[in-house]
Amino acid sequence: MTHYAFHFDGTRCTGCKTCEMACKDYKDLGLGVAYRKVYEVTLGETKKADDGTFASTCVSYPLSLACNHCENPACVKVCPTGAMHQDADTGLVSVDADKCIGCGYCHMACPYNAPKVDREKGHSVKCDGCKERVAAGEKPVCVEACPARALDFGPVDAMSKLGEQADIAPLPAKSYTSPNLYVKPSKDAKPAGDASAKVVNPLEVM
Amino acid sequence: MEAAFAEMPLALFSTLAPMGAGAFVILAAAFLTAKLDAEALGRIDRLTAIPVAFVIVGFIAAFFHLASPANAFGVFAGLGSSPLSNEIAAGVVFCVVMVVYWAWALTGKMPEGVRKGLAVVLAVLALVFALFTGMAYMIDTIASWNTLAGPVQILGYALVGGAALGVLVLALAGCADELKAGSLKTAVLAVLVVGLVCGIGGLAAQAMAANGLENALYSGADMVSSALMVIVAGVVCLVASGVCDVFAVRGGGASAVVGMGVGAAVLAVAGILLMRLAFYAMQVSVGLSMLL
Amino acid sequence: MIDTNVSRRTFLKTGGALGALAVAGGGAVAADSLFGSGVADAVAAPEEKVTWGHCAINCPGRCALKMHVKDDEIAWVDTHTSPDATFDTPQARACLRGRTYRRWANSPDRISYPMKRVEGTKRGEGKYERISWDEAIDLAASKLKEVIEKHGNEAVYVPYATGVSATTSRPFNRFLNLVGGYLNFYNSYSTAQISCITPYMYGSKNNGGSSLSSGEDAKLILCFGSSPTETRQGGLTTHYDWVHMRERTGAKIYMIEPRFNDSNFGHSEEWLPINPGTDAALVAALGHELIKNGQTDEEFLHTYCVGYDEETMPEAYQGKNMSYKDYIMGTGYDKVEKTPEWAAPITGIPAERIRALADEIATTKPVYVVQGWGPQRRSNGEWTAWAIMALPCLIGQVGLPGTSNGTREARNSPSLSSLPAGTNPVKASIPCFLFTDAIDHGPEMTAKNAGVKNADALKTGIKYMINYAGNCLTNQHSDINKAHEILADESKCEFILGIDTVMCDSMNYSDVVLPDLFRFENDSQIATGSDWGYIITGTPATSPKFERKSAYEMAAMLADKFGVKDQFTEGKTEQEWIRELYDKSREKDAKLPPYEEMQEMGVYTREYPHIVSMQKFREDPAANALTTPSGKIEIFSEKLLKDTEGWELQDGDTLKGMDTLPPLPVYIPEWEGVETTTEEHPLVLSGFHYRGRIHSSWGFIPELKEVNPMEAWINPADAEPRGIKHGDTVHVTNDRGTIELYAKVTPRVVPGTVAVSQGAWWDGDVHAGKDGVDKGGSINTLTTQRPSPLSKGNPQHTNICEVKKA
Repeated sequence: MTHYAFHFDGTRCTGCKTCEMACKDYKDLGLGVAYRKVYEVTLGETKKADDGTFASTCVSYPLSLACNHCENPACVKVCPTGAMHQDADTGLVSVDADKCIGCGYCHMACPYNAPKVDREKGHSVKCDGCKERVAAGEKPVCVEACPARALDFGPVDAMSKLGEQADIAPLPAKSYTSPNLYVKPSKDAKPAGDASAKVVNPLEVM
Repeated sequence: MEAAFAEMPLALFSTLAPMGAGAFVILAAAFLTAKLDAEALGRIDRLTAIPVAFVIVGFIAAFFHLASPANAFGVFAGLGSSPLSNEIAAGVVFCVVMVVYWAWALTGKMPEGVRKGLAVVLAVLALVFALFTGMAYMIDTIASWNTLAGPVQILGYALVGGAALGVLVLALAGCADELKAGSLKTAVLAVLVVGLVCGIGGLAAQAMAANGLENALYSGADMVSSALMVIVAGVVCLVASGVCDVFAVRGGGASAVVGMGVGAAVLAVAGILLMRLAFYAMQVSVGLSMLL
Repeated sequence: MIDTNVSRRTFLKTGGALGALAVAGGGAVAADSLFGSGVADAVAAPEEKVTWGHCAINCPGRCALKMHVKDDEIAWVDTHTSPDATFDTPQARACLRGRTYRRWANSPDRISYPMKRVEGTKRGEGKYERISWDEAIDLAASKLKEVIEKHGNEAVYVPYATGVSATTSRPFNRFLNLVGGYLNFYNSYSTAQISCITPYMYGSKNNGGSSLSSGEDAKLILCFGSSPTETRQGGLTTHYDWVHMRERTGAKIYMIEPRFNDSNFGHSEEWLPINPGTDAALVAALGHELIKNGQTDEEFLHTYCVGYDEETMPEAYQGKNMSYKDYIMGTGYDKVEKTPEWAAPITGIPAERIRALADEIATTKPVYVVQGWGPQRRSNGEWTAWAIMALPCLIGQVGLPGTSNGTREARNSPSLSSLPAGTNPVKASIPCFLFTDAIDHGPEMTAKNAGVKNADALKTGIKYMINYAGNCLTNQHSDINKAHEILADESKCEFILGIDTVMCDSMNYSDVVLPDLFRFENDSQIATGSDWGYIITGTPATSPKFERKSAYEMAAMLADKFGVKDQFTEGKTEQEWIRELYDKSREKDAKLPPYEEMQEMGVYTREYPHIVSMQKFREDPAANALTTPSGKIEIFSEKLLKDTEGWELQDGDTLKGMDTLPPLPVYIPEWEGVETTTEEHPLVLSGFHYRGRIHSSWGFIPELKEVNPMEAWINPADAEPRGIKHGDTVHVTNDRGTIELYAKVTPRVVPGTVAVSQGAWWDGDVHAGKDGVDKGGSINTLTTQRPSPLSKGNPQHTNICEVKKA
């Protein structure tokens, strides 16, 4: 039994969204659905003084986020049908489309904005960790797509050596779901749960 | 607030089903306290179609909220772990007993003891159903919902809305005098007061909780302020519904009582629906979830 | 426009099933299969094939596309990658746009048939009807003959277009050279100003910057107006190089920019906010501090440079206080001492910060100075670029490891031969940015007023254009409303042949449209690179669908009408050309593997050592003299004065009181800039490159638009007084038009400046003119057609505007 985790290197990510679009192409997702999204967090001010000069406290950083395949997934917990399930061997969380009623509970419960009901498909959809690729010895398509090499994927043991568990805003404290995401934050990044770190691009991610 | 309107099917469900269920609390009270002749009982039984319809329409609304209703038989898989499974189970148990009761009652051959017993059971199940409906929203990752104020609200709506529907049924069944009689009147008023306190108090408590919360996408205070007018309108309707009930149980001409009953029911639907929408509008996740 | 794709899906499904049956075997097998289980197998389990291809759009990324193809349809787009790749593994990974090629190739908007503009409609209205290839080629060829007969070959023009790059992607120029030639252009929309000024300073050869990888050896990196991760997002180019270098270097980095760009993400300490168009003022003030504190590298300046001080001035200009030092210290030109206090209100950088930066520059070695192409795409761009290049010279940080010469970073690439264009009998050449002028009033354009080269003046206006994969007629040109007026007038340019894959705005001005194939639907080859070099060799992913053809075939068909087909093709198919050209390249570069191996591997990568700009010149300036007149670095250029003698200047082209263009890197306030805003248009408007598009390419893909919305970046200090909230729909307006987009209210842009990404597809009413609203948000609705003074290039970042809630 090897549970898998993502790694996000915030010192490298440039917010380019290649991960997101590569996933959308591979998974053939249309408008309104993305399994991986890139959040922009921006804080601070850039002001102009009376003498016309600037002073800036602006910090800004991106976070690329898919499903964290949590050890204690909120989506699985609330699912009434068992459609949302976690693979015992890999820890990957995915949807059994034949069981899903599309109630949207997983979407509401997940604090990582991962599952979403695709009404056209008639069920909940989300990142499944590219389980067929992982089984074939490849990494999820988003990871292998990253031009800046800011993403990685592998056994939890290996990924946990690369960063702290989900400790980056806008993510909540890891205690809720024990997410399998290990983050190396940039200098600009704020810790998980810091409510001052706002997502400033809701149009692009919700 | 706009996003909450997307949850209209669920708002309708959590408005109509608890109301319909709650009506059986009043009916139980009537059967236990009032002396009703067979004809009156017959009229009441036929008019019981109204709360039954509320419950069924509520469930249909919820059904339409699903993306794949065809798979709905699978919802009990999560019994015990998924609050939604628990809610549906409580609702289904209630519905089964309700249907058995109603079908039996409509035959006109239901013994008085059975009627009283089943009505009390139904009343209790209605309250359990209401509580479970509220508890379905207690998800630890949605901080603003993860409070007992949720189930308390739905319990309150079941009682206030149930009182309105119950009074309407009794009024339409020509039981204005019975309503006016001491003990039923006291029971209705008691249900009403407890309901208003739970409903309004619950929503207020929840709004206060949400007001202090914040996540990376929005602040609870903003959500509460955008929902504030809806909350106020809902509370006004709910209180007005109660006032209609009070007038109804104080007696008057039969048509006036019916009028009051109709007013109470309509105002209850409006008030509870608005308050339910406000509830959905005050969803503050601990993380990155929001409506839609 | 007619719907050219009505039956596409049905057609493909049928084609796929039949194709699979054909693969299943001969007639007997197929017939058997029709009635047996073979049918189900053939249809249900089509073989997936994988082909290599490359992105061909104008970005040196040239992303590697690994097409997964089922049933002659692209199933998904993979790239050059592997699960075991480390941070150091060179892979030409496609960017977000490359990963959406399937959506473009299969777009319902894809052009599938030749079309002609519906009679009675005007150019720009975009109404087309399907015609046959015969009719299309007849029309295009007969109009070309007519124009050549009536006006001569100088009336024929191939406008600047960058939608397709490959070794065989310029067939129309080759064809035209066989029939008498065409009016040339020089410059590009990317680098007009810097490409013009660099040779004046550093000569025309060996004038490039150091590679980004050289930044690893630096201790201080000054990056002016550059976002390496946004401008070259994919492939093995500056996105990867920047991230890689930043992690490997020990240098402190400054990104000097009006916008906290995406290359800054997570590294806010690097951002040094500056007003747009004022870099030359910053450099002058830094120079002032360096001079005042005796921190300039006098030995370097006196050995390697001309024009820094009196001592190094060309003889004819000595004793006239015309050196750069005179400019800086206030003893020459405008007689203003360029103190930090002078520069502070202009640049927006506090005087004490300028002093601290000067000290840091003076006391840290090596210093790596690099600039993007944003600072130069301005009305004062030639001088801005020049000033940034002068900075490393002041401190002698040129030609040493860990330094650069202040130009853009170097790029490595293996060298591949391209389809020979032949020789153009027409010699006259215009700045590409002035093609609308050449249509409107060509014969009035001269060497002295419009930069006409190889002729004193044009003999005729442009009457015929072949616009191949170009969106520079309108969208990527400037002042779209004015461009529309000029192009819509059929008495001026008489015929426009358009060739593309989809109907971008410029295509809507075509009289005949021909349906192109993507390079990944052809055999194709291209070389590119940055720190690493690489070649991508592609084979067709799918068969040509509908009536689409390659540009090479189209040009050959046109050549046939002129009786020069054999000269055009030399009896070779495009595939044979590619092969032959590659073999020629191999003769010069023995390390290149055979073509078959290149096809097999798809991506060939090559490692290069860190490039140090002008190292040889630094080592021995006499033996390795520059190609400038003096053989040295010219901070003052006598040649510039001579070249521009008698030029007609407009107000604002030069310093106040001067009647020539400045022969040294001074700060000239922009025509429409921080110092020249008006009451009506109090904000500066500047463009930038956006991850959702490369220029206008991909600008119509809904999935990209959805997550890369068109936004006007505006500081809260400017938004609040206008009642504008984050996410509001706003109108950005100036004298040339109005665009509509969302407001991004953000501290990531300096107060006083609005930033709008360039390349959005114009979306307005062609009949409304400048009173209309461009709902696509194309910044070029608001940019000017007035060229920058020296290069006659596009100053597209020089604009002022007002912003209002829509």
